Amino acid sequence: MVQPSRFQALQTEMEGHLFERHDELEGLLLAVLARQHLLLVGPKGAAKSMMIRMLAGAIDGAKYFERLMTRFTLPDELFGPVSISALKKDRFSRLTRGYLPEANFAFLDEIWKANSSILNSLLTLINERLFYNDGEVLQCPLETLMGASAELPQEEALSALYDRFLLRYQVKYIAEDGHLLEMMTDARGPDLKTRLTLDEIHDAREAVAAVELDRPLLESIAKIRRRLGAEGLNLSDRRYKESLTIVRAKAWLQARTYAVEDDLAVLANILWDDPSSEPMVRGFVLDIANPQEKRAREIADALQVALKNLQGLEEERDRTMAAVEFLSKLRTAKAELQGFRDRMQRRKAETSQIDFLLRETDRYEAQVKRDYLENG
Amino acid sequence: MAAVFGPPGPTLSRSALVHDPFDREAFDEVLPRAPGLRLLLETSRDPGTQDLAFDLFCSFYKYFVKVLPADQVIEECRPHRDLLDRALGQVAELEGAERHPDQAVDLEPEMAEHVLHLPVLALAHREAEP
Repeated sequence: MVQPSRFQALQTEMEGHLFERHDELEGLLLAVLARQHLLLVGPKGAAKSMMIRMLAGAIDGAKYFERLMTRFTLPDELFGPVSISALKKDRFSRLTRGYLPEANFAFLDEIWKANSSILNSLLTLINERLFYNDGEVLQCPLETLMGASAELPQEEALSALYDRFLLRYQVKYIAEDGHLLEMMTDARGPDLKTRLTLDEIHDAREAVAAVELDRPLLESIAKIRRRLGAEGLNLSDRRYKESLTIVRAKAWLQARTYAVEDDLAVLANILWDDPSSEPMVRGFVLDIANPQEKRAREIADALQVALKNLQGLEEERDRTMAAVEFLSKLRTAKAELQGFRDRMQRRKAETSQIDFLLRETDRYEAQVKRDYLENG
Repeated sequence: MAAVFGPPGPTLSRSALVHDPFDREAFDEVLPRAPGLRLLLETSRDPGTQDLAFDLFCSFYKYFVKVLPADQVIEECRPHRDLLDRALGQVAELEGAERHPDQAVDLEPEMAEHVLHLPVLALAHREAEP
């Protein structure tokens, strides 16, 4: 039986190539493990395509299909060209080899640029994994469809397809200057040493399906649903039901055979519809699932603001004084994060996010001392 | 749902000073212990009172105090900026008359070791409870 460590190793290696993409990369693996579809939304040049290609390139034995969508994209480009020989026999049949109906993993870039007719023709394929070809029903091997876009659907007619993307991530530009510099000087290619096979993914999926969810956990989800409903955010029953597959995948990825409340944090990437509601959803979800992670994220965001303020100062004296203040705040923040980590370790919860943030605080501290205090 | 994602645009600040969320937290922690200030804020009809109170708090208790450029401050709060700019300018003049210009810069690395004793930083020193 395949071990979660195989998938964790892949995530770690991908995170080594891409800065500030922990959540999105985890989301891609969860989508694969849960056989769900994922949408990345964010500005151009934020590594959305790179993340998807990196993952797809690390899976051996899988057929991968990718297409850049435009408003001129034709069905032939997605589903295959019409067979001329069949047409001569008065049949309308597509040659699907090498196209979406035969792909295990697919990536549609700039997905919402395509017209609504072509996008809605995807519904059956990605939901039921069926494709109708000249009266024949083809069972499609599609595991995960990944979409990327710098915009959200402009037409109400596309809401059904939008709803099929269970996982949604808002991808932002790299926030921290140090990461940006490292990214710019990183000359490594996108090839990864860690490889997965399609068979391993199928094996893992069986284990994911067997992950136990207890009653209190389900009640916590109902509580989140009530709170979101009170704010006017009413999502489909299907979305809540399907979200359990992701919660199970998250638990399995943490090497557990049962889910815990911490695993519910991933719902923050499932239960928003409009990007403007994402912070509220994340807040409600983390209040219940993992208040310590919520606070840790607030601390991380605050440190980034403080560091950006410092980096924006021009006068040396200002920078020195601001650096002193920054280091004090950083030490306080670090103590709080260490307290969280100690408590999470005691209850055997996942600490990778806190560990990452603590490493970041160390890096900030070294950077600020080096750049603003030691040379003064 | 018609959102289009692009680079973030510039945002204007309600505070006239360089600040971060840690400063906000410190201010929020002071308020429960300052009934007079709370009463003032609750009864004030001027929506900018809260912003001015925050700026004054920062002016007195932050180690590093710097006024933002006027074009980075929301228009209704620019009078606060002018007030603080003048007041802090006077403080700087008084300080400048009393010490050598390079004195503070020379002391900073050493001060980093003792900075937790500063008032605002002590306020921001939270218990590690969620």
